[in-house]
Order: sequence, then structure tokens, then C-alpha cells
Amino acid sequence: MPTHDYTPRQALDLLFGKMADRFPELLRRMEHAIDAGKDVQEEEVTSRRRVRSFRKNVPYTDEEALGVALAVLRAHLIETRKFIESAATEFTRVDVAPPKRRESGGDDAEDSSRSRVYGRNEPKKVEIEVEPETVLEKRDLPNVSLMTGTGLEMKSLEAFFHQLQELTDFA
Amino acid sequence: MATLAELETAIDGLLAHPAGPGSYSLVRPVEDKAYEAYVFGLCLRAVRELGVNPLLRGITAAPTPFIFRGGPGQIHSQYRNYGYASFTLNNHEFEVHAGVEFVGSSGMTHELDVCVMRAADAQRCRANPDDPPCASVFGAWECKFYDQPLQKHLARAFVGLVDDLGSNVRLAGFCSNQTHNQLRDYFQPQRRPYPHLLLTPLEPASETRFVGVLSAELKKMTAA
Repeated sequence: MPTHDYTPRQALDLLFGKMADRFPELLRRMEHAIDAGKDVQEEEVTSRRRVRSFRKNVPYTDEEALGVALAVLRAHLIETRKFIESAATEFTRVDVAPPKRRESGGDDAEDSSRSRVYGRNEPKKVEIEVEPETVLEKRDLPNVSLMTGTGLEMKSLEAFFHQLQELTDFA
Repeated sequence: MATLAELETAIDGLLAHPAGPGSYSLVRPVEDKAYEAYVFGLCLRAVRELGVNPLLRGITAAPTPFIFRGGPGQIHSQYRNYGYASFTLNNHEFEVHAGVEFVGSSGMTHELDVCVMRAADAQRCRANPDDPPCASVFGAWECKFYDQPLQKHLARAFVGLVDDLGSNVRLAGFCSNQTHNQLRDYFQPQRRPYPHLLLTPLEPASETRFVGVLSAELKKMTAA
């Protein structure tokens, strides 16, 4: 007995239709991931006793394509935030120190005394450089700060995502 | 029975969510670097698990903020106050870097997404600007954030890079949040990098494996 009043194809079309209007770049990524297809092992009976096995690239089924599309959404919306959250946690747990003195000819006393070390259990500001040194025409683009979302917001987003996964599970 | 109207409401809810795609600018290079920052953080965790406290440093001043390079760069570059970490284990000094270039055994330079290297070489190359030699690398990790199954050529390229790093490298790993069903086989031969596939906070067992492999090797190398 069917558990959905729609097919995987209809679900995919609906998702793509919504994405096309508002998030074309994300849609392009979904299509790219789906069009990459998948590897399967095929079997071919070559004689009465022998079966030959070989690898083949084939397109996803509609149901699998739906799963791939959701995986793309998950990677960008949830997984990247988890990376940032994890990095922020690890950075919080360690100390900050000045540059090594020996590089400017001094000793490395601050290492042994730890007198100039600080910041453990305090959040650190982490940035990604957007305009590297080698860029010819500099536009003075600011670095991007790795900001963690609020816990409540992320939980709510994950709940929406989980609901969408359930509604697109045809197994 | 799930209805199409319910599905539409769920999709609309996700797309309009305050933390949904509308609030998230998809800048691919930044996503890649966020993944490197994550792996860098796992290296810090591995060091802490050995009872050592790593220190965050900047090349010219205290790392506030801690800046990750946006592209391959030199360890001595002072274009920005790039961040790195340092630690001492059993009297061996190490540094953790991201996006730094090394000279391979062939003379060709290679960028390592994340690496642990011997601190003496790093200090020498900052004091007398130069690219560090591959012999100074303790561990090297390639970091690939993907939103779809991995492409095989990425693994092939890293295997070639690791080969050019020479035999002093104790650890090499290919890290990705994704996998590919042929890659585990490809990485099986003894001298190939460790496949840290599905290394993501969504798979805590993979994180534990990464941290365990690094801390065990550090312990082994620095044992009296």
C-alpha cells in the first residue's frame, strides 16, 4: 500500500521548481551531483556456468536522485555549520600565545613560563582570507568570519530537514 | 499517507527558515577552508588528548583573529597575521599549519591543506624566508569538502604529492566529508595515504579514528 500520494519524480520536480526561483546556484549544484550518476556492478551470463561481473556508470533513479538532492542541501546548510561549530569548540579549548620570540632574535621564555599565554575556554575569532596575497587586482575584500549559528536556530533547521527526509523516504 | 501539500509545506519551511539557504551565502572557497579549519581543530584535539596544550600563534602578533590562508602561501609570509599552532611533546617541538607550501623531493612545491611539521624547520624558514623542506613534515592531510560523491582524480593527485614528500613523512591522510565506493580500495596499498572518508561531525566515529591515528603516531615518534 503506498505511503505517499506523490511519486519520487513529483517530489523532485516540486523541490527543483521551488529552488529554481529562489536559489538557482544551489539548484545547479544539485543537478550537477545528480548528473554525475553512480557506479554499479552488473552481471552478464557468458555461458551456462560462467557469470561475468563488470562495473558500469548509470543514472540515479528518481528516488535516489531525490536523496542526492537532499544530501547537497544537507552539506551546505547543516554540515558546513557543523564544521565551523567543531572548529570553534577546539579553538576555545586552547590558549593564545604571542609570536615566537626567537624569530626576532630573542629567547622563547614565554613558552616555558606561560606568563604571556591566555584565552583558554574563551571563544576565538577565526577568519578565512578571501583575497590571498597573490591576487593582482586587490579589491580589499574583508576576510570571512567563521560564525556559529545559534543552537536553537540550528536545531530547528535540522528538524525541518529531518521532516523533509521522512517525507521523501519511499522505502 | 503523506500528501504533496505536506511536502510543499516542508520544502517551503526549510527554504524560508532563518538559518536556511537565504541566510547562507554559498562561497565555495570559504566552505573548503571551513573544512580545513575543522581538520585543523581535530589536530588540536589529538594533541590535547596526549595531555599537551597546544598554543595558537600568529606570524607577526597574537592571532586575534586567527586567520586561515585563502590560498597556498609561504610559511614566512607576513602579508597577513596568518595563524598556526605550536606544541611540545616529550621535548619534540611541532607546529600545525594550514595552506603552507613545502618543497618536495623533486624540487617542486606543494601546498598541504593541513600539516604537522617540525618546529625547528618552521622557525628557520620564518627567520630566513624560505619554503620548508618536505623532510620537515610529520603529517600531511588533504581536505576536500564535497556536496556529492568524491571525484577519483583528487585521490590520485594526493597520492602523487605524498610520493614527492619523501619517506620522512610519518602520516598522510585524505580527508573528506564524502566518500567514493572505489577510493577505499585505491588507498589500501601500504604506502598510500590513510582514507579519512566521511570525516565529518555527523560521523563521530570517523573523528575518533582521525584523532586516534594522529595521537598514536605522535606518541610513537616522540617516545623516549
